[in-house]
Amino acid sequence: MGLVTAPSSAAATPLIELDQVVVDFEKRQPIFQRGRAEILRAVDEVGLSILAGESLGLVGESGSGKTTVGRVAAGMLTPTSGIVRSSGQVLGKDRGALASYRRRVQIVFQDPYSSLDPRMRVASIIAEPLFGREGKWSTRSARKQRVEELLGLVGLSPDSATMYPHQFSGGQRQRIALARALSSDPRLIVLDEPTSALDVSIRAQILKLLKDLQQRLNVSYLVISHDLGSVAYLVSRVAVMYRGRIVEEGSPAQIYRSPQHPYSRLLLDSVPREGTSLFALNDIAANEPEAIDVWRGCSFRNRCELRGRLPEPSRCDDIRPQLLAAANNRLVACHGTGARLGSDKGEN
Amino acid sequence: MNTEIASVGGGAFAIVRRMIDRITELPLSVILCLLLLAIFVLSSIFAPLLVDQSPTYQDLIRRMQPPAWVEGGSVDYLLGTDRLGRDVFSRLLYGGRISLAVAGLAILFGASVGTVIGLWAGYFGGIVDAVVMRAVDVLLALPTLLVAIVLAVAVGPSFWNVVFVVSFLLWPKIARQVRGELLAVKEQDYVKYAEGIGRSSMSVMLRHLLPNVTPSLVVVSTLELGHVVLLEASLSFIGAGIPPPHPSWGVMVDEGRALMATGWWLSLFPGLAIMLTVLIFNTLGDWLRDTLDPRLKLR
Amino acid sequence: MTAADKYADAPTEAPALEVRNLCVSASHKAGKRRQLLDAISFKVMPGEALGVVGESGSGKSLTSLSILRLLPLGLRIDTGEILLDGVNVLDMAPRELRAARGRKFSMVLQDPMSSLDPCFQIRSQMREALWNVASASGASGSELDEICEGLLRQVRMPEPDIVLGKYPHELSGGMRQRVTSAIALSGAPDVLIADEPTTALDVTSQALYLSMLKQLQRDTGFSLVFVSHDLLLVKQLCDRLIVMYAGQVIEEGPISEVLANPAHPYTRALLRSIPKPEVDAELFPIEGYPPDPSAYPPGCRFAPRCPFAREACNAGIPRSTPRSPTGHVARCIGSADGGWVS
Repeated sequence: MGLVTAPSSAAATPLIELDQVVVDFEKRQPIFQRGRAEILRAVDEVGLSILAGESLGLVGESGSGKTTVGRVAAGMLTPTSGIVRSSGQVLGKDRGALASYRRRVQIVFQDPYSSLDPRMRVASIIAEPLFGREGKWSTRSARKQRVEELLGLVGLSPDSATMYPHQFSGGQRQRIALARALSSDPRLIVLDEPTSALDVSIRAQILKLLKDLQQRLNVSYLVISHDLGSVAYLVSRVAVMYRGRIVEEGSPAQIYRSPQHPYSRLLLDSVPREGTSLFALNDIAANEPEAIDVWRGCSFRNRCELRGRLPEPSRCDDIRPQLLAAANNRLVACHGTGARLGSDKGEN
Repeated sequence: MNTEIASVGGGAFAIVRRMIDRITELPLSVILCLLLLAIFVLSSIFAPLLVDQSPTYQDLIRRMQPPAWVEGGSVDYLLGTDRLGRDVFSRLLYGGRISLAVAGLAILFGASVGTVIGLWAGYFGGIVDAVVMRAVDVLLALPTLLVAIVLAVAVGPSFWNVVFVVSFLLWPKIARQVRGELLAVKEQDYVKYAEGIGRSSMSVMLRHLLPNVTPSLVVVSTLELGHVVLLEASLSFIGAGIPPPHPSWGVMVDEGRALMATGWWLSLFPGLAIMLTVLIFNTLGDWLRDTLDPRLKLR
Repeated sequence: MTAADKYADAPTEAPALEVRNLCVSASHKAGKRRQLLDAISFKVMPGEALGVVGESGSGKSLTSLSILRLLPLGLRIDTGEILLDGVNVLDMAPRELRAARGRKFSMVLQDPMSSLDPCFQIRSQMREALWNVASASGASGSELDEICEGLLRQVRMPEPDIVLGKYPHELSGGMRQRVTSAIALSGAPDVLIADEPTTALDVTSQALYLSMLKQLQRDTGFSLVFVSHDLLLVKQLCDRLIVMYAGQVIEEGPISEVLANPAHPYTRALLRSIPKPEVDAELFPIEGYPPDPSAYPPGCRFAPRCPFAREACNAGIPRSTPRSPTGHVARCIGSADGGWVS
């Protein structure tokens, strides 16, 4: 599995690295069938790395595993197997390492309504990551000052500190969540669908704020979203996920203008924008993803329009496609790359 | 009013103003209930000031006197006397002390124990949860009154024993309520966030979980107050509750039972008191649930 | 040729649905009422697809709920007429209304999870909807199944016979939405009101569902009212568009025209603020927040956020004025003839 780093900083240690990470969830079985537990593989050997100052986008739909990857990256979930490294250090059971990791990596959730404790004031919410901290923010006044500073950073008035979450709108709540994530001065923020729950006209506001902070504070983002537009705005690399695997990786320009993987194509054809038509989609895409045995072969095979045109379609059934490097620093996991995908626009 | 006072007093005035606003916004039924409750509680507390007669003083000459407004009654004994010549009104007020105190204490103990157990079981799950919840299921499956009687007879009649028995019957209901609520709250993002940044379980429980289950806890407790009052009355009614000569409303109803034909006032007034108290608590509980619930899912 | 073209030369054709001057309010503190919908008026011609676009608080969902007479408690229709094929829905007696529902007009709502009862198989839920359909009365079980399968095939459901025996939780969101659509269309209604039917779906499911809906609309000829917050989505699906903001219709017209030459500054700003999946795109957010219904400004409700606002904008609510001969209108004095907005 190739881990791609930007060529200019090949020698630098990545801020965070996921190596062959697998996350399995066990589906509870009734007591009589205890022996054969059904395992749901949410993340299937995923590897990625983010360098300091760099931002990565994780794109996919429900069931792709992107949210789970985000939780692993944020240190909230321990993978079933695989390694998570932070600045070269492997994250194991060491509580000290875990604690300092959690200071460096923060998360902002999708739902601005459930991510803030409705019974706490905004100041306490924002200062929560600073609990039990020796040093800089151990005194009350220092924390108070930090909260004011953060409120200013995210564009909220200082009066907000004594108010409760229900007094704010969705967009404002996301700002509060962002302030909370920034309080411990993190190096990486995992943004889990940061604008999906917001009104269209507010989305641009939040995205602009995120971009602004990214540049000002030199903080990295792991943006998880199904909204390709938001992702393109914030990141320099995009990874497309389908059913727990990364199927394609490249720069936003590469992926959006000439997607190589059939799923990426389907995704881009589905997004309403200039030049796309509702009738462009192949009916085969309407097949349900659930039924097939996904641990063998390619998980997209029953929805793939390319498979029928391949000389050896059985490869898709039996052999799992590996993420291989293609031209211009991009990665694709498909047996059919090389085969023409209909009209290719622009760069390869 | 000069500005200094205004700025200091402004804060206090604003708070009082807001309280008054909130009170006047309440539905009429709730205001009435609160008023009645206040009357009951205050008259119980200040009973000695309101009645000259002692609740236990027997004046056999004056026994079985009807209430003041009926022929044969007198103003000295407002609600009449019982078969031992004790003043019904006085017994009603002093009895209120006992009935309300038992209810309040039982809720306090029962809710505290129930909350702690519910929090623990709900948050940690696993074996503890399974064991505790099965115990709760068993306790809830037992017929309340029957168990109450058995226990009360076993431990003997006394004020604290009654409180204990009622609390014991109450905690499973609270525990189940809290645990159920907790299962939902536990999944909220802000709890996951707190866990994710490394807070201890105790910290998460105290800072996040407890405040968020408290509203529904208050609602359930208020509704259970009605049950508790009835339970104490029932226990006293069959003689397994508050021992004589101390009055409680249940005891009074019991004593008046045999004399219904000749002394209708003996059971009526305490019966009314019980009924009204339960009604008040139920109404308040319903209203609390209606106002608090939508705000919990704040948008 | 779209429906809009078809009817451009025949202005006397009766609309399938016409909303006139709809006003809805909600009770507020101290006896005052909050105005949620303010003089909403629009027409939908037979076979046409109308997009209703707005954000939360704009009143777009309330509009569709009002048409269906499904307003939540506490909300009241103050004035207005909703004419379905000439008959005022608001005046209908309960029996009339029940007969009309499913046959004259029908709906698909946003959340496919709660639109279907989790306790019953798809078969029973579809049969429940067939009470109104003449061909289904007196039919045997297998005949009913055939009818249901036919309806499912209409919405391009793969393996309809298997789906009939499933429970809602066994189907994906996209499939559930197809079932609810099949149910909605079972009575062959003249008007279908779809309130954000794809908001809860994945983007690929959304695209597949909408292409099915569009094709079905072309084949069957029903009128579609499609409520959404997604301007670009509506562009793919609809012929005409109304844009709502703070309880009012602020712009209306043929879709390609409105999106190519938006007359109202809000529409313009909205278009510009949508993050496009293109590289190096600049982002132009709209500053500020939509106004609260209990405190609407006296004049134009968008004025506080409008980059072109002037004193005159606060004088009163702007009237809707035409911008082109094709029925493109907007409420903005700045962009009207003789105004200061280019």
